[in-house]
Amino acid sequence: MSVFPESKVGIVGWGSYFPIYRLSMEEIEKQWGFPNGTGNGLGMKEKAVAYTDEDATTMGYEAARNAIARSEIDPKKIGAVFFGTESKPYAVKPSATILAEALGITPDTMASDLEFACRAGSEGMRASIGLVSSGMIGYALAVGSDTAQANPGDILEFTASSGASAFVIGPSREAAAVFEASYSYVTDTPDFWRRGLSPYPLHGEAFTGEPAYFDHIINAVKGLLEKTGLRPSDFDYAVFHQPNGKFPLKVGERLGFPKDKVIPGLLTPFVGNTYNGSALSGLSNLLDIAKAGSRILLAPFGSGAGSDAYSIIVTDKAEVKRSLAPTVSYYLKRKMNITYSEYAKFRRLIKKIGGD
Amino acid sequence: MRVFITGYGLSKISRWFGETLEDLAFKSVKDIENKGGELREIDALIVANSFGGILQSQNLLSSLIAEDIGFSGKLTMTVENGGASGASAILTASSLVKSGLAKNVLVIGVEKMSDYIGSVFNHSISTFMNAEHEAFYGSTLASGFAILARSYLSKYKYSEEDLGAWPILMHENALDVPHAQLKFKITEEQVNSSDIVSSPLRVLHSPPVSDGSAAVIVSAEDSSIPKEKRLAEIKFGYLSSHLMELSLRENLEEFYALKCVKDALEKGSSIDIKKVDLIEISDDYTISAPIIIEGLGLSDKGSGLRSILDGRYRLGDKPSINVTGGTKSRGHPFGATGVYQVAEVTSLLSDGKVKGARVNGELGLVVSMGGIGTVLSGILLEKV
Amino acid sequence: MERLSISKFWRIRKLHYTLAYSKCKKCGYAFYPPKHVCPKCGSSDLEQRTPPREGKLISWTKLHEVPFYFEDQKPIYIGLVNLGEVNVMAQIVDVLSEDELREGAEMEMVFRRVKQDGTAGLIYYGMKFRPAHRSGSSKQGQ
Repeated sequence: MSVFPESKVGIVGWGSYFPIYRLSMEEIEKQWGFPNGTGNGLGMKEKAVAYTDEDATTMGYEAARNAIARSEIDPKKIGAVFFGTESKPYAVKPSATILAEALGITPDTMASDLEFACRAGSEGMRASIGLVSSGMIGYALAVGSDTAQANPGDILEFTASSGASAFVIGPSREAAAVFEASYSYVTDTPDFWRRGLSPYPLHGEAFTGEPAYFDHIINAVKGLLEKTGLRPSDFDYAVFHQPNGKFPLKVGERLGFPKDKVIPGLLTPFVGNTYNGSALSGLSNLLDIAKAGSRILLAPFGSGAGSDAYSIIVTDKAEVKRSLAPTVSYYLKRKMNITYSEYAKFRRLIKKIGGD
Repeated sequence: MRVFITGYGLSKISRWFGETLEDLAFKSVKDIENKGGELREIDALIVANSFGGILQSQNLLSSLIAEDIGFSGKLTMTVENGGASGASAILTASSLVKSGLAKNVLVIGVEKMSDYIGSVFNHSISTFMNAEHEAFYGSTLASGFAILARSYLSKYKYSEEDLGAWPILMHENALDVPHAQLKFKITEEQVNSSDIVSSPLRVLHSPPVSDGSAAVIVSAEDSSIPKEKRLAEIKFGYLSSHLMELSLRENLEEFYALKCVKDALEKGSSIDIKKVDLIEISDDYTISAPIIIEGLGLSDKGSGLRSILDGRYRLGDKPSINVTGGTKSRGHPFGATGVYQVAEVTSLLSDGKVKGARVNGELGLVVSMGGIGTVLSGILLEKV
Repeated sequence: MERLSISKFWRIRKLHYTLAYSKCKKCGYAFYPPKHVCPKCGSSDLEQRTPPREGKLISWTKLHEVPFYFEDQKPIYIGLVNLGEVNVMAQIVDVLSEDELREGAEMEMVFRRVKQDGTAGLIYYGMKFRPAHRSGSSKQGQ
C-alpha cells in the first residue's frame, strides 16, 4: 500500500460526553400513538436527552476536555478548533470560539463551526488531518456535537438524541491511533434538511435509505478500499454513521463486514443518534476498548449528502491514555430515566410565554 | 453634643399596589405630626431606600421626595445600605447633628417591593450578594440564608422543625402592633407545611413582600424643638461591613461584622448587652435570629436556637427581643426597615403607642443587617 | 428586566469559564472571587491560579423561588463547594437524589448554560457542579 499524507498524523486524544437523562421508546410510543415495539423495531432501547442548561457547545466542551486530557498536551498548542454540529446555539456566532476560550486554546488558533448534517464533525477531522500533516499547525481539535431535533411525533423522534465526541489530532508518533488513509464521497442529494428559520428538519423517509445513506457510505468505503488496496477482512472493526440500531448492520453486511465487527462501535441503541456525535462516538468507544494493532474502518455519513471513510490503526498508546478520562462506557452507565413531559420541558418543546 | 429622637411616624406595612414611594413617605411624615412631632424646624432630610433605582427606575429619590412633601432646599441625600439603610441613615443624621451641619434631621425610610412578580423580587434581593460570582448562578438572599441555615442546623444538631419556634413567636408579638403587615397566629404545623422557598427555609420562615415607610426626627440637644418633645436619646451607634461572599467565610454561622459592632458598642458605651431591656434585631429568614443572638453574646455559640425554643426573649424577659414582630410579621420593606426598628423602640421607650401591651424598659438596642450578615449596625437608645 | 450585557460577561469570561482564583504571594491566602487586595493581609501581590476540577460539598439548598432567567430550571440546587484552596458558590446539576448532597460529597465541575436572553439575545455560559460518580471507571481528566 502507498503511504498517504494521513499517516503523518493520528488521534492523540479522544473523548465523549452523553447527558445523564434517558427517554425510553415506550414513552414516545405512548405519547404519539405508535404501536408498541416501534422503537425496538428500529433497534432502539432508549435515547439520551440533554437538560435545559445543556447544548451542543456545553456537551462539546466536556468531550473536548476529555480528549485534551488524553492528549496530555497544553491546550495552547492546538492551532485549530472545528466544531461540527447541526444544532448550533447561535446561527451566527461560532461556538468554536466559546470552546476555544473555555478550554484555554485562544488566541493563537483557527476556529470555525462546520455544517454538513451529521458529518460536519468528520469533515473537521479530515481538515485537521490536512492542517497537521502539512505542518501548518501542531495539533487540531475536531468536535462533533448535537442536541438533535426531530418534529415531535415524527419517527425521527425515536432516535434523535444528544451527545458529543472530540478528537485531538496530532503527530502519529504521539497518537493512540494513526490514520492510514481517508476518502470522502459527496453529492448534492437532499434526503434530509432544515431550512434557516425552521425548528425541525424534514426528510424523505425511504429516500434517506438507498439513495442517501447506503449509496454514499458504500461508495466512500469502496473508494477507500480501492485507494489502499485493503479488504474488509483486514479490518477488526467497522463503525458507521448510526441513525438507528439497524442500518449500520445492514450496510456492514453489504460491504462484507460481519455483525461482530460492527456491534462494538454501535451505541445508538443505548443513547440514540447523536448526529455529529454518531459515528465519532462509536470510534471513541472503540478507542476505549480496542487492542493495539487493531484496524478500524470509520465511515460517518451526513445528509445532503456525503460520507467519509478512514482506515485507522490503534497503537499501544491507546491503552495508556484510556484511563486519563472517563470512557464512553462510564457515560452510558450513568443514567436516569425521564418521562416524555420532562423530555418536552428539557428540550423546550412546550409553548409558553417567556420560554426560550 | 447629645442627640435625641424628637418625633416618629409609622405607616402600615402591606403590598400597597395603589401607593407610590412619595405617597408612603408622605404618610409616615404626616404621622409624625399626628403624634405631636415638630416638622417646622427640619433643616436636613435623609431618605433610606434600597430598591428605588432598580424597581422604580428612580435615583435621587431623596430629592424627589423632599420636593413632593415640602422640604425644598434642605441638606438632602439618599442612603442605601441594604437592610441596614435605615440604620445607616439614622447614623448619618446623628453625625450631621453632632457636627453642627444640621439641627433637626428628618429621616424617612421608604420602600416598595411589590410592584413586580416574584421572579423579579427574587432577582432584586439577590443584589445584596456578589452579582457576578454569586447571583450570576441564580443565588438569591433566600438561598444564601438557606445555606447558612442548613449548616447551622447540622453543626449544632437541630432539626428543621426547630426553626419554626421563631416565626411563631414573631407572629404572636405582632398581633397588637397596629402597623404590622401580618397579624395572625401561626402554628408549628402551618410553618412546617408551608411551601419551601429554599430548603430548609419555607415561606413561613421568610419575610413577606413589604411596602412601607417610617420616619423619625433626629435632633441636636440645642435644637429649637422643646425638650418635652424628646422621646429617646441616641446614646451610641456603630456600623460595620465585612465579607459579602459566602465562599470567603470561615464560619457560616457567624457574622463577623456583628463582632465589630458589639466590640465598638461595649467600648463606646460601656454597656452590658445582657442588661438591655429591649432588643430589636433584623431576623431575616429566621436563621439570622439565633446567629445574631449568639453574636451579641446573649447565648453561647450554637445555643441561640435552643434558648428561643426554651422560651427566652419573650415579652417580659430581659432582654425582650422583637416585641413588634420582626421582619417576619411586622414586615421587611428593606430600605425602610431600620427606620421602623428605631421608631418602634423609640415608641416602646416613650409613648408605647406602637404596641398594645405595655412594655417597660430604659434601654433599647436596634441591630440592623444588610445582606447576608455583610453589614451589621447597632444603635443604642435610652429613655429620656 | 434587562437585556444581557455583552461587556459585563466578556470582561470576566476567563473567571466564568475556569473559576480562576487569586492567591496572595505574601501570606499564601487563596480566595475566590478575586479581589484587588488580599482579604487577609491587604497585599496586592497576587497571582492567578486554576482550581482543580473536583471538590467537596460544604452546604447546599434547593431554591424554588428563583430569580428571573432561571424559571425554566426551577427548582435549582445552589451549593458551596470546596475546591482545594478555595470555596466557590455554584449551581449543582444532574442531581439524581438528594442523598448525593451530603456534606463532604464529591463534586465535579461542568460547563453549562447559566442564562440566556430569550430566543434572540446572548447566552451566558459558566461552570456548575455535579455529583461525581466514581463508578469504577476512569478518573476525570484535568
